[in-house]
Amino acid sequence: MSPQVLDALRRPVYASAALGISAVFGTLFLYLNQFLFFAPYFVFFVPSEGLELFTLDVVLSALSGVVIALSIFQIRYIPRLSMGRARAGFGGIAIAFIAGACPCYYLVPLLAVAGGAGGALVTVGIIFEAYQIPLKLLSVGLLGTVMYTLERSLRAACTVKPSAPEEASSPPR
Amino acid sequence: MALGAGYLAFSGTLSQSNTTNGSGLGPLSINSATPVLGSANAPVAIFEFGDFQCTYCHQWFLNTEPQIIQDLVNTGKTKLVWKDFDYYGPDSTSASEAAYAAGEQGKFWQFYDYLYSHQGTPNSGWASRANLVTFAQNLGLNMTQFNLSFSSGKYDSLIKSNFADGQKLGASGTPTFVVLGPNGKTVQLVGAQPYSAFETAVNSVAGG
Repeated sequence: MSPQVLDALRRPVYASAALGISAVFGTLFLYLNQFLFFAPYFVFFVPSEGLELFTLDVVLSALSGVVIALSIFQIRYIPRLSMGRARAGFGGIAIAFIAGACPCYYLVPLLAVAGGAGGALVTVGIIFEAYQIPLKLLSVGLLGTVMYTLERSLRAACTVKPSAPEEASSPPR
Repeated sequence: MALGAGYLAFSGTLSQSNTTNGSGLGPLSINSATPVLGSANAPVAIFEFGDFQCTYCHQWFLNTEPQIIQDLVNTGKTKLVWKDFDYYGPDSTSASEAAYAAGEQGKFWQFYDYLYSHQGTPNSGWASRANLVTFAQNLGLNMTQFNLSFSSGKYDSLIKSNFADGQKLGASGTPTFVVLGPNGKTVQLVGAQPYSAFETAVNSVAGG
């Protein structure tokens, strides 16, 4: 029996959504972590000591795409399932975005726009940047847990209950 | 060493602007207190707006700066100019003050190297005033002269004006670089970009 998440991703719409979301997130992660530059020239650059972070970014992008696509699938076909885990997944994605983003992109504008609160946000940003690898590992863990939970939820939703076979549901093909 | 580095320059995407400044007035001014690495007569200047606590500045120091020094600075094509853009915290300002104090003994760039080579987690105390004094001792500086300068606060206004200069140029954080050509053309590079981007920018502004 193949995993339910793979069954869901065999549908072209959800596979395309997962790929598209992963590509967008991947571009954003690589830009924020300074592996990808758009100005003044387009440059892709992975320094040797950045390999860990680059790998984490790729894994996070892929997981984010799959989790979001599966969450949409769940909302679309099995709305009665709890959205709590999907929310945890979005939390993981948010952490991944904040962690490691180079302060060169946001510190001064943040200070200018938000004043005193901006100063506090800048401090948080600097702390997040300093601990980006553990934070991103936490994000991978969260997204992995969400994937596992989604798989279990989908499997349970598709299981035929012996006592009431007429109630069994299956996502439409 | 860069792994899997790819590079593509789009023609017509240079963020260039004209400036009336060479080495005179304006945010890209160079005065007697401004640390400059390389020949003063080099036609192109690379201004680094940095913070000694900034981790991406450290990345640039490790991955890009050595080749810039070897291929562009030591060959007389460019000079590297330091401008503080301190906002990680008070330790950043202290680090800048200490570097300037070392500069009075002709060791700004040695101190700069030492700071980046010993960089720790931002605001963890690695750049505390006590540690900065130890760094100066380790570099063999005259400590009486260093302490006098370091505690004088005489570089406060320079550090503040450098920050204001960065803001005038549109810097939103560190590291930000401005490559200035002999005819006042500039190219701005944001982030720890690789050598190839700097080489292209230098060639672009050097050609007028």
